[in-house]
Amino acid sequence: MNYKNIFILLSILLFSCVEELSITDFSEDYSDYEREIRVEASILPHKDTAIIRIDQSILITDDSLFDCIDDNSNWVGSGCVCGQYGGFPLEGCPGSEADCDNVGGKWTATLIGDYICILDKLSEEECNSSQYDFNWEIINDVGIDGLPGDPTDENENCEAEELSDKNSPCLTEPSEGEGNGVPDCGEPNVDELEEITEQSDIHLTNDDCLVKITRSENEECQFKFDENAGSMYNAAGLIGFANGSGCEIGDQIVLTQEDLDDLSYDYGAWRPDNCSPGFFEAMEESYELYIDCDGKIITSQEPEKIPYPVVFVDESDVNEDAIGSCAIGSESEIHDCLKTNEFELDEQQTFSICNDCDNRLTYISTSVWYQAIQYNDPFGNSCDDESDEEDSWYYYHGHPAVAYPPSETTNHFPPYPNTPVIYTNEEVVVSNSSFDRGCYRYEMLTFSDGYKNYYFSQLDLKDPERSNLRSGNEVIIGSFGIINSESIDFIIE
Amino acid sequence: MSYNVSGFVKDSSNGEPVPFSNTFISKLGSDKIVKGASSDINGYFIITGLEAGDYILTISTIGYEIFKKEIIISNSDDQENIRLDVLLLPQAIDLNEVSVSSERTRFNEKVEVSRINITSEEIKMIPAFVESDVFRALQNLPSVSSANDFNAALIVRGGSPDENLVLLDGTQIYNPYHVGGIFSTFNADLISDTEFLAGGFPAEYGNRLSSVLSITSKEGNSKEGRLPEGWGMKKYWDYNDINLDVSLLSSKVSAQGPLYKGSWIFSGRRTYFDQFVKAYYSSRDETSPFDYYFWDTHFKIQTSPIKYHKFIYSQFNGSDNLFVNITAEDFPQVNFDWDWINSTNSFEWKYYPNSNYFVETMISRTKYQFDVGFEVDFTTINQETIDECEESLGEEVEVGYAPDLTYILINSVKDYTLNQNYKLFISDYYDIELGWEYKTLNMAYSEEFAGTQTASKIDTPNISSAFIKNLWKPISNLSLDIGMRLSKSSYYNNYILDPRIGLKYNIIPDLALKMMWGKFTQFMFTINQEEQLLRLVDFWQAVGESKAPQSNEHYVIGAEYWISNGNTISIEGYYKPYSTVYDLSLVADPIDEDSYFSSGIGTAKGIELLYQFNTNRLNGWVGYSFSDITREVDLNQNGEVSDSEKYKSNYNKPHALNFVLNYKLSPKKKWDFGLTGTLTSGAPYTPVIGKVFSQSVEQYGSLENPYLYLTNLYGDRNSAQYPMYFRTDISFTKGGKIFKNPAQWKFQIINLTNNFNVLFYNWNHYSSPSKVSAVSMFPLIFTFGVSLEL
Repeated sequence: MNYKNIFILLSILLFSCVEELSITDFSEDYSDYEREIRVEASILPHKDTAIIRIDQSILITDDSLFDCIDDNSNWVGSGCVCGQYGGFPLEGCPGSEADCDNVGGKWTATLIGDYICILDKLSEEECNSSQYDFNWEIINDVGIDGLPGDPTDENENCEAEELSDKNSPCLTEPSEGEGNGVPDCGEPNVDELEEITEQSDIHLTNDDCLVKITRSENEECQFKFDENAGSMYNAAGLIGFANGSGCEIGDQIVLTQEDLDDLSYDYGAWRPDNCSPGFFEAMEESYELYIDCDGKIITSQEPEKIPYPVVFVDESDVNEDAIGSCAIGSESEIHDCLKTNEFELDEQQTFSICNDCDNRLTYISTSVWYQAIQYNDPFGNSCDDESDEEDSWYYYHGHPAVAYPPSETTNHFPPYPNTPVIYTNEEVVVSNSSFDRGCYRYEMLTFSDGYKNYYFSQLDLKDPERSNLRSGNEVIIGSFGIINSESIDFIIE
Repeated sequence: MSYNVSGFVKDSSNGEPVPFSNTFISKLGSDKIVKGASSDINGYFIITGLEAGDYILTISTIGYEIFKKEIIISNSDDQENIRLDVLLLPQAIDLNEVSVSSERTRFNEKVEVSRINITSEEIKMIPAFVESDVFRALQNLPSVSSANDFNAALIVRGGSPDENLVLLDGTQIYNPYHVGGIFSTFNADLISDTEFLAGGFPAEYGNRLSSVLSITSKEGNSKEGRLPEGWGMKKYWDYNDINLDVSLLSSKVSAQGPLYKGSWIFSGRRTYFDQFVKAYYSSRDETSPFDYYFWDTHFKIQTSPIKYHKFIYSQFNGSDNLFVNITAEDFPQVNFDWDWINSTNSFEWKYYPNSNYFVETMISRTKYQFDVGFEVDFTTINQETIDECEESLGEEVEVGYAPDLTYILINSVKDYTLNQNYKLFISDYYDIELGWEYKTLNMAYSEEFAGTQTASKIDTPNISSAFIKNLWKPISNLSLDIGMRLSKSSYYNNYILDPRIGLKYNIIPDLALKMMWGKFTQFMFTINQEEQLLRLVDFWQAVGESKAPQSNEHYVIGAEYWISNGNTISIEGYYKPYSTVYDLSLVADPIDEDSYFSSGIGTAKGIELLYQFNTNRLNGWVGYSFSDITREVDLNQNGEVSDSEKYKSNYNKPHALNFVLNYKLSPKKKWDFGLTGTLTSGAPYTPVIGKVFSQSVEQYGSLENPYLYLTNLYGDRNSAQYPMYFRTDISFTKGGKIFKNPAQWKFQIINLTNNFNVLFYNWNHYSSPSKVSAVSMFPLIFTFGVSLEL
C-alpha cells in the first residue's frame, strides 16, 4: 500500500464525516424559545462606578446580525501602498511622513517598526500615475474566506503537494469575492463586532427600563443608558488583532494609530446617573440591584459586598514568618497587614529577558478566583516617568485564574479559627525572546460571590445557583456582582 | 467411608484445559449414572461421596472423543481418593448426538444470570475495525452498548464504563483500551475464554456496580515441541506454534510451546501507522508532526513441578504513545505529548489436593498511568524576521524555546492485591466457596501549569473484603446461590455487607427460570463525564474519605430455553436502582476537595431478548433490548434535586436490535462470511435553543470582552435525541497457504451502507440565521489483513 492510499483512508476517516444540515430539522428544539433578558451588572469599586448591561438573547433564526452589509461604512476595499524597511527610505517611496502627506497618503507604522505610505480608496490606475512606486494592494476586499489569496483552497484546485507550499499559485490566487470592489460576507469590516455592539438591537435602552442600585438598603443610585458606556477589545487583543484582523498588506502587518484606536469598541450599557462620589467604594457595605423593564421587575437575590483586591508581593516574602504572619483577623485586617508590612511590591517592576528564567509576579489574597489581564503600551510612555505623553495601555491578553489548591508545593497559610485563608498565585510575565521587550501592566480582578458564581460556573445559565437574579420565581440569566482590581506595571528589558 | 474422584480434563493435542466437560460415574456394567459433575473453567472436576465399588468414569464434551475409564474403589484401609488427569482426543467427526456440549453443562450447572461466554474464534469471526476485538464483540449483545463508534468502552445496562470489572487472568485492568478507546487492549489471539456477566454477578466479585468481564488467556501448547530430540534444554523449554498476523495498520506475533511440566505463551503486537507517516515526511525532508502507535505484549507460563500444585505467572504490558506538533506561520508552536500504559503481573498458586477442596492464592500488581504534556510557545517569529530585526537594531536578537504555556497532567493507579479462594465440595448437592482479598491502592493525580504544581491529589485506600457463597441444590431442578460479600475501605468507617441471592429453577429440563437479587458497592470511580464523546483516558479516583461509596442493587428475573445444542433463547428483565453515584462536579471549588464531585441517584431498567443459534454452517445471535436509564444528580450542589436535575442518562438508548451472523461459505475452501448489524435509538443530547454573547467560549461575563463570542443557549438537559443509529459490518475470511504455511486472509467492510450516524452537532452562530452541521461516526471503511502460521 502506498502513502497516497493511506491518506485516502485517512481522508475518509477524518474529512468525509461532516454534513451541513438545515436548521429547520431542529425547529422542534428552538421554536418555542423566545428572546429573554440577560443582565450583567458589575460594580467596579476601584473606579467608583458600575456598569450594567441589559441585553437580549438571540434566536437561532435571527437574520439581522450577520447580513453581509457594511453598515458602518468602514470597509476599505483596496489602496495604493508604498513601503520602506528599517527606517531607511525605500527607493521610489515617500521617505517621510511629510512626503506621504504631500501625495495624500497615510504614513503608517508596521508592527516591526517600519513605515509605509498608503493611498486610500484609489483606483489601480491612480497608483500607477503617482510620482512614487505605489502598488495596488487589496486591504479589506479579500473575499468571503476573509483571507488574502486562497490559503484554505476554497475552490479545491490544489494538488496535495501544493497545499504545504504557501506560495503555490492555487493558494495565492484570488478567492471568491476577492478584489471585486464590493463588501462580501466574511471580509474584514463587514458584520464586524463594532456593527453588532453599536447597531444591533441586543441592548435594552432607556425607553425600556428603570435601573438602580441601592446601598445599605437606603441609598440609591439611578442609572441611565449610554451608547458608549463600555469598551471592549477586538479579537484576542493586540497580537490577535495584528495577526488576523485584516490589517495585513502583503507580508506586512500594518498597525496605524487608527487601528490601535479600533482595538477597543464601544458598546451600550447603563451607567450611574450623577450618583454621589464614593457610592461604589464602600467596603463592608451591602449593594442590591433593582431593574424594571416594561413592568418586569428583576432584583438581585442576595446583597453583594466588595471583595478585597489582591496584593502583589515579593516572592521572597511568601513564607509563614513573613506573609503568613498576616493570616490573622478579618479580611480587612489581613489586607491592611499586607499593605502596611511592606510586603507589597513597588508599582513598577523590571525584568530582564533570559533563557530558562522563571520571572514571575506573585500576588496573594483571600480570594480563590481571579481574572488576569495583561496590557501593553506599544509606545512605552506608561513606563517612562519622564514622559509627558499620556499612558496608552492596550489590551494584550486575559484569562481566568484560580488559586492553587492546598498542597505541599503551594503556599497557603492555614488560618487561625474563623479567619480566612491567604492564597498565593503567580503569573508568568517574561519569556526569553527579545520581542517581548516592552512596557506592560498586569491587572488582577477579584470578585464578589454573585459574579464569581456566574463567571466561573459550568452550570446551565438558568441554574438558580449560577444566576443571582430573579423576576419573581423566574431565574434571569446573568448576575449582579462586584469586581475589584489591582494592577502592577513592569518593564521587560 | 466415601471417596472422591477428581482431576483435570485437558486437550491431548495442546494440553489446554477443557472447561465445562460433562463428567459422570456409572456402575460398571450398568448405564445408570450414579453421580456427575462438570469441569470448571480450569478443566478441574470432582465427584464426591463414592462408596466402594466398580465404576466407569465417562467424560464427554463436543469436539472430543468420549473418554471412559474403569475405576475401582475398594474397602481396604489404604484406599485413597482417586486423582485422574484426563487427556481428551479432539474428534475428527462431529458426534453431537452422544456428547453434551460445554454450553449445555453450563446451562445445567450454573445459577448465574445474565452470563455469556465468547471464545477467541467467535471474536475473530465478528467483523471489526482493523482488529478483532472482544469489546466490540460484546457490544453486539443486547445488554451492552457503546457511546459511539470511537469509544469501545462497555456500557452495560446503563452503567458507566467504570462500573465494569475487567479481569485478565484474575488481575484487574483499569483502562482496557488502545487508541483512546477505539480498541480494547486484549489481543483476541490470546483469549481462551471470555466470560461476561451483565448483572447480578455472584459474591466472589466485588468493588463494581454493573458487570464482570473475565478474560482467561490461553496457557500455551504444552505438547509436541519442535526442538530436535536430544537437545538438553528440550526438557525445560521448547516451542511449537509461531503465528504472524499482518493487517493494514498493525502486526501481531504469537508463539507458544512446552515448558518443564507446563507451557508458555507469548503474544505481542504493534501498530505501525507512525512509520508510514515518518516515511512520508522523511521523503519530503520534513519532520513528522504526528506520531502515534501502540504496542502490547502478553506472556504467560504455567508449570506443575510438584504434584497437586500448579504455578502460573502472567504478565501484560501495553502502551500508547501519541505526539503531535503543530506549527504554522503566525501561530504558536504546540507540542502535545500523551502516553498511557497498562501493565500487570500476577503470580498464582493453585493447590488441588486429592481431597474435596482446593485453594487458589494469587498476588498481583496492576499499574495504569497516563501523562499528558502540552506546550505552547507563543514565540512565532520566523528567522527571516529575526535577521531583519538584527540588521535593523544592530544587535543580536535572542529567541530561545521556552514555552510560555506548559501543562502536564499525570494520573496513575497502582493496585497490589492479595487474594485467596477456597472451594469445598461438601456433597453432590452442596458446595461452599469462600475467599478473602486485600487490595492496597495508590491513586495519584497531579497537574502542573507553567512550572508550578496546580493540583495534587493522592489517595491510598486499602480495601479488604471477604465472601462466602453457598451453592445448594435442595431438589434436582432447583439451584440456589446464596452468598454475601463483606467489604471495608480504609476511607470509609463502616463495614459494608452486600448480600447476593441467585436462584435457578428448571421447570422442564430445557427451560430454566432464573432470578437474582444483590447489593453492590464500588469504592472508586472515574471522573469521565457521561457526555464525553471519546474515552481517551480514564481518570480514576477513590471515593473521598468519609463519603459513602457508590452503590446499587440488581433485581434480575429471566428465563432461558434450550432449543438444541448451541440454540437457546433467553429473556431477562432487570431493575437497577442506584443509591449513590458520583460524577464530575460542574461547580468545583479548587480548594475544596468535597466539591470536586456531585453525587446523585439513578435507575436503569429494561428487558432483553437473546436468540443464539448454531447450525453446521451458520451461527450467531440476534438480540433486542428495551431500556430506560435516568439520573437524578444535584448538579449545582445546593442540597436539592430540582426537576432540571432529573434527566435521561447519556447512555439511554431505549431500543436496540443487534445481530451477529457467521456463515461458513465453503468449509472445504475455508471461506467464512461474517455479518453484524446494530440498529438503536439515538443517544440523548441537550439541544441548542438560542444564542447569546459571551466573554469566551466557556465563560460568560462582562469583563474585557463581553461580546467576543456567540455561544449556545441550551434547552433541558438531554431532552433531545440523535437520529437512529444503524451500522452493518461484513467480513470475508479465506484460509489458504503462503509459502506452504497455513494462512488466512481477512477482508472487512465497516458501515457497509455508509449510513451517516451522527456523533454530534456543531452550531455556527456567526451567520444569520445560524448554521448547523453534523459530524458522523465511522463512514464506509475497508480493511484487510493476513494471518500467517509459521
